[in-house]
Amino acid sequence: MRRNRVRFEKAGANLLLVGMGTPGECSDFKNKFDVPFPMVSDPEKKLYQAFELKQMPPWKALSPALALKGISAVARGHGLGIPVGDVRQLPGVFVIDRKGSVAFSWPADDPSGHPSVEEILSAVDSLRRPAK
Amino acid sequence: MSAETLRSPDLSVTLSDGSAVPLKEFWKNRGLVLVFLRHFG
Repeated sequence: MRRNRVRFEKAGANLLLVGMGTPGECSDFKNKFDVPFPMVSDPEKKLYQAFELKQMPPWKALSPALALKGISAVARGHGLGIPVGDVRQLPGVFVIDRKGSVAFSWPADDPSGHPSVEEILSAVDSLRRPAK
Repeated sequence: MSAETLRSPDLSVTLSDGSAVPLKEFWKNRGLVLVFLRHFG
């Protein structure tokens, strides 16, 4: 996302991150990773719930496959730390048009998945097309 | 929440600088990509 900031700006949409940390924790996150977008602090997960994002089942949180992904992330230099937020909460991506309608919805079923930047940009492009 | 007919909730959100802003301020002029993160740290 950060690497594609210019593409999102050219596409004509704002980009907003939502995290489960306090304002201070989210501010630290933004500084640490040089995040150029505004970030919502949602420690009570009100926005996560409003968008009906799911929680990972406990058995999946303990799966070997997820453990391997965590090891892989550490190997890529992401480091280990105390998690900020609910570790079972799944992520998601939504595109909202200028009338407030949800034009693109991607609630995760799995913690490792995410839509491609191209999918998201295509949804943003569709906001500029005239309504049929 | 699925796409098509659903609308963004009318909520005020708290930003990392502590300010409270209605969510619609982010979509009403340009549209919005809203990215929910997993835990971090």
